[in-house]
Amino acid sequence: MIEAVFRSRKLLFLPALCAGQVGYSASLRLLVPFLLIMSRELLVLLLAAACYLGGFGYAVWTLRHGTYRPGRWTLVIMGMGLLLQTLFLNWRGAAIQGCPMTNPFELLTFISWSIAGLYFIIGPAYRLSLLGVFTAPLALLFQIAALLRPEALAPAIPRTSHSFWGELHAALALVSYGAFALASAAGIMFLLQDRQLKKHQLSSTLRQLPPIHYLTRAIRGLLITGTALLSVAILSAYRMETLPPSSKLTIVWIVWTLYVALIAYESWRGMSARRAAATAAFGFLIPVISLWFVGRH
Amino acid sequence: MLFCLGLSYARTPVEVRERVAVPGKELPGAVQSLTRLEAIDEAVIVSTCNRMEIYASSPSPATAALQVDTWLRERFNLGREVEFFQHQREDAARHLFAVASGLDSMVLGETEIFGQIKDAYAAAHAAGTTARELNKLFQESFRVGKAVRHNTSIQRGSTSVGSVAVELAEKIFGDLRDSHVMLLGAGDMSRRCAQSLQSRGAKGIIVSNRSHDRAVELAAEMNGRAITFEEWPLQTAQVDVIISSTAAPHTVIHPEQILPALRRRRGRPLFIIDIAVPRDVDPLVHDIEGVYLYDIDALEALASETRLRRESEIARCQAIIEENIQASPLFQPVRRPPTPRPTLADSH
Repeated sequence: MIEAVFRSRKLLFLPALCAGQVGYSASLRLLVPFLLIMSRELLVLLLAAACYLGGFGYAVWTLRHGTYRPGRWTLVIMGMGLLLQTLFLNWRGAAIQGCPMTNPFELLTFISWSIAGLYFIIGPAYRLSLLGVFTAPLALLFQIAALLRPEALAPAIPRTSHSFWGELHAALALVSYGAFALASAAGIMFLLQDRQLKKHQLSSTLRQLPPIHYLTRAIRGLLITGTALLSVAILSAYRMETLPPSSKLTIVWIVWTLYVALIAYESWRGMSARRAAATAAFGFLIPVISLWFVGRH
Repeated sequence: MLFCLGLSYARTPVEVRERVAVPGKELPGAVQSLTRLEAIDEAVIVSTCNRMEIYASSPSPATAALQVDTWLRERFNLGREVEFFQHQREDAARHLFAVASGLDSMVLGETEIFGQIKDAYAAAHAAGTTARELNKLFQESFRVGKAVRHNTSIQRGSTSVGSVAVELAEKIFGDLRDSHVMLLGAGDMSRRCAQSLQSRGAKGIIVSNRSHDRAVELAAEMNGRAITFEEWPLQTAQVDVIISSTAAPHTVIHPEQILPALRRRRGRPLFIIDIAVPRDVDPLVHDIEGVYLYDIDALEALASETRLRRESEIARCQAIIEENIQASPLFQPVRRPPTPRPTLADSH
């Protein structure tokens, strides 16, 4: 049965493996030919996912052994993952002659790429080397979610029509989601650091977490950046020849309103840094849900 | 053959150690006078406040050790009651590697000694008293010291109350150059704590004390400014670290004094160090979001935890040292060229 699926090239190998439908030995027998027949696009994305997994695993291992050094291998491995994803987006963009955001597989890959890319901009700016450790699993999660989509095995379909504003809208909206994802990672780091400091315990694993004050500034900066990008994305949507479906627009407006409300409340009423971090950390669920909703419709 | 001879804080009191200390500028002359001894080929003197050690190379280490012993006693006028430790070959290297890794230091895992050994070697090298054996030994010790620090957590964390306070302040604010410190009470402990923070860049020291004259005096000493004790709550919005060590028999900092200031701090955290006994700060202050309160017990517990963690790393450090001793070309058995096999022609 496995061979039949394999020959038909409608193989959903990764989902089947994850669901336990393919046994371990069968997985091994399948893996090598699977890698051989796999398109170069899937191969680079799998390698990118492996980089993020490797970067995260290496960082956790060194943190546990107390030998973590900021800004070395994590950066190199994350950089390799980002390069591989950039390569994929470049190939896919050339194939479809436009921004590669035509299906959920491409959308999720684009978000994963945005998260990793923003880390390289935000991390050094706020001196948050360990943010990479928290960014890697997020980028990995989105990349794996993309690879598990059935469209991952479908060939690229060239666009028949092009809309500059449409592509700008989608690209900026996804990059803004990347910023919210990073704010969420920074929020989780803040909560961990705050908990350590409040409990008077500095665990050896979490000793390398960035200072509370830097995390506060990074969260604020990321939320403002994300909201600004999302604002431009929404404005771009209204310049399109045909407006996106109202359901999609409503969802984006809801996400935008929530983040604007958070920033406004934090700026004018002086929300505590801990509450702002918790909101950024768990508030990211709203963009994730909205993404799922937009993907379904 | 390598050997080392010397004394350290472990067995020698400070009264003796201070007599044998060789200042940096006198080091080249001292080490050159050592190599003028008949049995000494190469020499390096490591002289710090906690140790005075001589590493040397000699074809006859027993004679050399006697000569160095005499040299030390004569030069520093030491009696027979002062005892020197002595190691040879691998043991001498093992000792140097342990010293370079901070394993033999008074504060286990401290890193200052690494720089001091580097300086001692550089001085000897410049004075022309090192050659093949000591060059190799010291280069290896630097490599081993780095490997130990990189692969273990022997140097992680802080081991004293003052350094824990600095580490915590850096965990809260990062770079302390933008941080302002306020001292409540002008005791010696709070002064030392503030000096530790100042050494990492903290500025704008404000001193508040019940005796205003004492506050003025301490503020002048620390390049800060003095305020009256009634004024301190008004300054809370501007400072980042409060170090409290008054002699008051009751608490002097309460949540109702901190809360209004926090609103004006716009999310910037506040770090309060309470080193007074009885405590100066109401424990309820710690429950306020954005305020981190550490009393003397909490600071001491963190320092002690680090000391224990460092001690638990000793075995791993020693394993790295041992690995390097075994692999060191300095101690490999000398390989003799293989004896040529007799050939058929030889038998005739």
